[in-house]
Formats: sequence, C-alpha cells, structure tokens
Amino acid sequence: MDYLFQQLLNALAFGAEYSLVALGLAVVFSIMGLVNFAHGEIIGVSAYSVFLAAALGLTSPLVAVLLAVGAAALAAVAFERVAFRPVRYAPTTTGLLTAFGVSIVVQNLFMLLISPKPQSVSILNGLNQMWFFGPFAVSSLQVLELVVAALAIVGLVLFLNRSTLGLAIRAASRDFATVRLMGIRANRVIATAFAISGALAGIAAVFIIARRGSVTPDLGFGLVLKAFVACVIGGFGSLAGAAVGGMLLGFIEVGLLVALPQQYGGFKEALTYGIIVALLLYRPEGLLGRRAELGDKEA
Amino acid sequence: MGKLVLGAAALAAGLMQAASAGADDLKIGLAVAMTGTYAPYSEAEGARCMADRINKAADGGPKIELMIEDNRSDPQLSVSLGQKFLDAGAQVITGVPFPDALIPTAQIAEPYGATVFSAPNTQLEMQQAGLDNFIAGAVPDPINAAAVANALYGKGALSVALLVSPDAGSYSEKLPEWFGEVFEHLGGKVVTKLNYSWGTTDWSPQIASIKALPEKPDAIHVCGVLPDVGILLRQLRANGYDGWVAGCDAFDDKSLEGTVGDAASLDKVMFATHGATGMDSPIDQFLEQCKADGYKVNGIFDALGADMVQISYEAAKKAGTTEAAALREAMRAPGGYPGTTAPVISFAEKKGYPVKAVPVIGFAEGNRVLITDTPPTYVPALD
Repeated sequence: MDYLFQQLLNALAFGAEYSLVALGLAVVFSIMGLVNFAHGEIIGVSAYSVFLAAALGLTSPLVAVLLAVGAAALAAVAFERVAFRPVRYAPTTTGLLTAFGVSIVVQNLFMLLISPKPQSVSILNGLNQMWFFGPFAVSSLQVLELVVAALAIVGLVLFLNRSTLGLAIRAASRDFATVRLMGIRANRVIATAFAISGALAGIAAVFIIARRGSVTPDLGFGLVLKAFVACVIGGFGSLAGAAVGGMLLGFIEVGLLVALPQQYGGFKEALTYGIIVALLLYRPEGLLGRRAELGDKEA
Repeated sequence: MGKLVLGAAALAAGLMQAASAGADDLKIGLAVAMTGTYAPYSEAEGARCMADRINKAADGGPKIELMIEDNRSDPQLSVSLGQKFLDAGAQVITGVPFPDALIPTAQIAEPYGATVFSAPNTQLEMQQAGLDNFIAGAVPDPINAAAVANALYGKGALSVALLVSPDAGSYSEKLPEWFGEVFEHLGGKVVTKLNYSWGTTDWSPQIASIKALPEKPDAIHVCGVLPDVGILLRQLRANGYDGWVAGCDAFDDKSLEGTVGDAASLDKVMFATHGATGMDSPIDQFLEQCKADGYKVNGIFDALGADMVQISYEAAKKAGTTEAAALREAMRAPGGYPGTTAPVISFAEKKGYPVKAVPVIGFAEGNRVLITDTPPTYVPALD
C-alpha cells in the first residue's frame, strides 16, 4: 500500500512538472501558433541566473526563487522581442525553426561562456527534505511541486478569466484580428503571454535546481520535448489540455516503470509512445483540443 | 617574366620542403566532445598538454600535430570528422568513445592504414568487433565491473540492487550485470534489477521500488553519467538510503562532488576508474602542472588522452617512422611504454586494450581515497 501511494505521488509529481512546462508552451501557442522549443532555454536562463547569483554570494533561497521566476519571465519577453516578433507574420514553420535556432544559440552560449559540464548549485537544496506522515515518508519537493503547480494553474485560470489582459489573451487566442480592432495592443498581449510562459518556466526551474543540485546547458531541452508531447496529448492550444496531458504523461511514464517487467524495460519508451499514438487515434485533436477541419484529408 | 618564373619556382620549392617536413609529423586527429552529453569526459586538453610538452622537449622523435574538433557528442559528426582527419594525413584518430561512432570510424580508417585509438573507450563490443586497427586506452567494462564487485564485497556488502538502462548499450546495461555476476560469484546476491533512462533527472520511481523491497539492499550499482548519478545520490540520501552506491568510470568527474554537495552523502560511494586522482597521485601532479601551464584539464580522461599521445609518440620513435601500419605494430610492441595513468602501459598481450590495474576509488569526509588497486581475477564475458 505504501508502495502504491509512493508511486502515485511520484506520478503526480512527474505530471505536475510536465504540466507546468506544457502550460508555458500552450500559453504561447494559443496566442501565436508558435511551438516555442526555446522554452527549455528559458528554464536554462533561469537556472543559470541562480547559479551565477549563488556564485556571486547569494545565500537566500527565497531571493533565489524570486530571481529564478523573474529571470525566466524577462528572458521569455526578451526572446519574443528579439527573435519571435520579427517572424510573427511568417509561416508557422519559420517560427518553429526560429525557436530551434534560439534554443541552439542559447545552449551554446551557456557552454561557451560558462561550461559544458554540470555546475553545482546548492542554494535550493533545503527544498528537498523527507517529510513523515504516519507510516508514509514523502519528499517535500514532490509535495511542493504538486501544490505549486496546482496554485500556478489556478492563478493562471483566475488571471485569464478575471483580468482585462487575461480576457484579451483568451480572446486573442480565438481571433487576434478582432481583438486588435477592439483597441487592444497586440504587442502587449503577446509580451504578457510570453512573460506568463516564462514565469511558469521559472517555477519549473526552481524544482529542477532543487532536485538536480546542478545546472547543465541542456537541462531544459529534454523536458520541453516531453511538454510538447503533453500538449499534443491534451490538445495543442488548450491550456486545460496541457495540464491534463502533462499529468497523463507522468502517469504513463511512472506506470510503465512500475508495471513493466524489468526484462522488458527497454520497451518503455516504445510503449509510452504506443499508448500516446493509440490515444491520438481515438482523439486526433487531443483530449481537450478543438477538432480541426481537415477537408479532403478526411476519409 | 624571368623573375616571375624564378619566384614561382622558389615558392614551389619552399612548399615542397614544407610538405616534406610535414610528412614526417605524427598527426593525431581528435574528434572530441567539447559540448553535449559526453563533454565532461573529453580527453582533449590532456592530449594537448602532453603533445606540447613532448614537442617542447624535442628529444629526437617526430613533431606531434594535433587536430582537435568538437564532435558535439554526435556519433555521426564524429565519423565525418574522422574522415576529415584521415584526408589530412592523420595516422591516429579518435571520436565519440562508443561503438556507434568508433566501429564506422575504424572501418573508414582501415584503407588508410590508420589506427583508431580511443583513450576513454571501454565497451566490450569494440574488442569483439574484429577490428585490427582499433586500440582502447582503457580496460574493458567487464574488468571495471569485476574490480568494483571485489571491492564492494570486500567492504561487507552482501546484497545489491542493479540499475540498468539500454540507452548507452552494454556500458549502461551489461556492465551492471557483469558486476552482478562477479558479485554473486563471490557469494553476494543480486536482489533486484530496475530500469532507468539515460538522462534521468528524477529517480523517485526507482527509489520507491528499492524501498519496497522486503530487505534494504546493502548496495546499489549503476553505470550512468553525470549529473544523473549525482542526482540519484542526492535523492537516495534524501530518502534515507544509507547503503553503498557503486559505479563505473563515468562517476570519475569532479562535478560528482559538486552535484552531490554534502560530503557525508559520498561516504559510501565507490567507483572503478582508470587511475587514482584527487589524492596527490602522479596523475594529479600531471594534471596540476598542465593546469598551471594554462590547459583546461579536468580529470582522469585528460590523463588517458595524455597516455594516447605519449604512447603514439614513443611507438613512432621505436618504429623510426610515422607510417601508419608500422606505428600501430610498434604500439603493440612487447614491454609497453611509460604512461600517465600507469608507469607502464602495454598492448602486447591483448592488442586492443591495455593490461593495467583498475583502481577503485571511495570517499572519506568528502575526499577521495583509494579502496583497491588490484586487477580482478574472475572477469566475465571477456574471454
């Protein structure tokens, strides 16, 4: 029973992390139609900011958390201003290629200016403790990750539903042209979406640093690929879909690790994607996505 | 017009002279990982330090010319760079230290007569591939696994959980199993085998499985890269696991101590590697001197790179030529050559890998200590 509870918690924690990153991708995609593969490098900027601040003498974990979130939000806005705004009206594939370009450039900057090797960051180690609840011993980091991810999602929903800017973002995700005709400035809406996306990446970075105790140039890239899969499962463009997709991916991964006989462990990735393909055959638009008109491509 | 012809002739003669001088050079092409997953394990700076040191000494051997390029941890790029080095006349080349890069590299090097000398390679596949022009600078994985099994059993461990991954071939999958085979041969027991993926940043599911075992294993064995294994150690200790964590040469990077952070968490960690570092050994002295001379050396893999350069150079001196085939034959000459990771390194016995001791390193209060340094007697899979 302990074991199942522990693995359930693991699945929820995996899912929470994927959901946080997937939400960041989905916020930008819903407004711009851009799959921002440089989202991982926003996590990277956040992590390296904490690393550099700690190297310069920062000792307060609270300041480190604020720095991580702030640096990520700023980096996201800067990426939009420098790289994505010039290609805003270009075909989707141009935006995709630009995102990969930004990702590679930023990763190389980390390698060249800092180091390709893992760099130790211990300032957030205190977040990773064991908490004991009766017979259960759980990781504080997992509980925090779950709670913070839930709060971030609730906060995002409230912002999108209650604030003018949030309503503008939601409206823009449906019909950007009309939103502009209503007098809302496109640049402001998009910059806000990137800032939100960045802040979510910063929150994810806090947990990544606390768990890893180190930063590497590619620390966010693999995670963004998983978040991309989560978005596809949930339905690209749907914020709720991103959260659900992230959770589902976490459950699939941990479920297979637990349930698959060890001699078949090599099939884990294949089975993960097999399950995802089966899901997408059932709902090609993703679990919560809107059905797209495919014209004569439909059978 | 006459002056022009005379000038051209003089220039051509000069170029021919330069080309002829260059033809006697020992050219070594290193496609190394300056970036990507394998960047912590690059041997380039150590190789550069040794080459410059030898060139400066000018003791009658050929001049060493190193060609170094970043393979970005990409096997395909590594093979392409190998071809580039061969076209530039390299007699010795190297690349990503895994079979998916080294086997095709050895195949393209074969018509040139060139040797693929991978300083950090340990995969058994390379010794079984039947490539006469391949030499590994390190002992194969089964020896590494056996050395750790002996050391761990010697510390009183009787049960072990293995963490295996198919992602880096035999290195991450078979090495722990060979370890388990030797451990059971000695009288220990493998209680479970758990899977993980290369690049794991959260080991919670595996740790939960270990915690759910009827009895806590005395040790966990894993052959994974950094920072993954550093994260595993942090998470294991945070979850209250205080048993041994045993590993392979991929543990041997200074970032292990940095990633784990807490010195007490390292107390029951051990790994087999290619030479004792971090304890004022001759390897440390070489690395310190290189560092003082401005080379960005890092650790044991740089020392292996230095071995590769030194052995190639000494072999060229012994052969009296830098002709590729003769050079390789001389590398395998009886008696071996002096090295940085061992006083004598010989390829005469095994041809494809050296005969030398395998140190097992542990920690005491955060500092590295030598646990054992004897060659294991029972080694699976190798014969």
